[in-house]
Amino acid sequence: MGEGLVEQRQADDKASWDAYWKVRDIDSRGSIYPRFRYYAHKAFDAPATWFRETIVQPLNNKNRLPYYHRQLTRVPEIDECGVNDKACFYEANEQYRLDKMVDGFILQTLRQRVDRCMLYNNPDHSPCAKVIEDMEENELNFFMKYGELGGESDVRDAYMKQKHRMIWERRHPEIMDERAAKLADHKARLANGEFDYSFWKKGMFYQDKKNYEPPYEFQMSKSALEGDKPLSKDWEYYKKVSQDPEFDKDQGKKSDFRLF
Amino acid sequence: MLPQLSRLQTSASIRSLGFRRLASSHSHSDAKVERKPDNYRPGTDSYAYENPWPKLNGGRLDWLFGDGWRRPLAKDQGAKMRREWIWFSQIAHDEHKDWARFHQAAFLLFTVLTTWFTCWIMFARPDWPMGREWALREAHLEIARREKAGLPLISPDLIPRDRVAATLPSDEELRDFDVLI
Repeated sequence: MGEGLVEQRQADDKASWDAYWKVRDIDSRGSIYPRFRYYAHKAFDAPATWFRETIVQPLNNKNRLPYYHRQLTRVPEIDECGVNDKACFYEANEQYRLDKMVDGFILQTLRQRVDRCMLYNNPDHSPCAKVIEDMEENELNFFMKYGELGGESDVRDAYMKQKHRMIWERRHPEIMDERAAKLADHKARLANGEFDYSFWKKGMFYQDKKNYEPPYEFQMSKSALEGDKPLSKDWEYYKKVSQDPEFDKDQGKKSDFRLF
Repeated sequence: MLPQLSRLQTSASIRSLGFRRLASSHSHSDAKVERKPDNYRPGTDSYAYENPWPKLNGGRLDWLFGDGWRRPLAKDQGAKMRREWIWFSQIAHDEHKDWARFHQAAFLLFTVLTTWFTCWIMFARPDWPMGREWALREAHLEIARREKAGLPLISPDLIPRDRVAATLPSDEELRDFDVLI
């Protein structure tokens, strides 16, 4: 429409406030106290709005200074640096630090989207399937790129992590093929409107199997952070598992957690 | 009759002994000790000069610190150099000037400078070389760019895969090197 972004935003803002006052006007018709309250609020709002729209905004639009977002030139990555080239390593590490911060803020933005969507659509979170999918996928990508390196890692550690991962993928093509097939199946079901949250995370904290220790002689058999924990506190469960081949064939290997 | 008589004699002798001892000690100590009022506190009668705040006399601070807690007087207020004065290493010949200069310096350093430095760190520090504000804006711009290009918002690869694959060692070179991820 030829206007600038500032003019568009101001027009949208004015339209929103006009709609608000129209609702107040229609809502308070035929009543006594709400109508007088509307008049009182309007009496305060009208001169302030007039002053802002006729005096303040033209001055601000005339004197507005532009804001420039700094464009950083990309420097050679760590794979193009010489082994003893400390200047090249320093530049690559600074670039890695900024890229990691940008990715962290991207992930933070995605998490905020999920939080706002779940808060807005409480208790039915099914409209949030897309934003949850985006957040989980990019959180996994962030972990694959930067995860478990520690606070003192530099760009060489991240580079070695990627190299090791690619070597592992080369050595296990069958696992990578199965993961790709499962991901494609998950995406197809998501497109059909079926969102399976357990594809990303198998459960929540309160479903962690670390709480499945027997109530007697409480001595932790393994670290609570590991995944291999007892399935049940009931000895009869294990007896039935050993005697009945058809009883509980999954044995905790599948998750039935439903987000919605 | 006999037990009652013995008990009476014993109590009488003890009573006379006590009286005699008390009488001798009391009469003996009277000649040496000067009596003090019942609200007397040791050390509260050793002012170096006449106290200009009489209403504050006899308080807890006087009882604890004597007159050391009071603000020193200026010369025109009738100040004299106190024998108990411990100086602030500023001016050795004037107690009030010494006190005033030290407290002025302490206010400038501890209050004004600390507040300004805190506010500078919180509000006025430039973004670089940390780049945190830049990264936050760049994150939103990057989201818009990647959504338009159809790429994942966060790439799992630090360096493009083809460039890394070109330099990966072969299986013959790695031999039995175990890769755990």
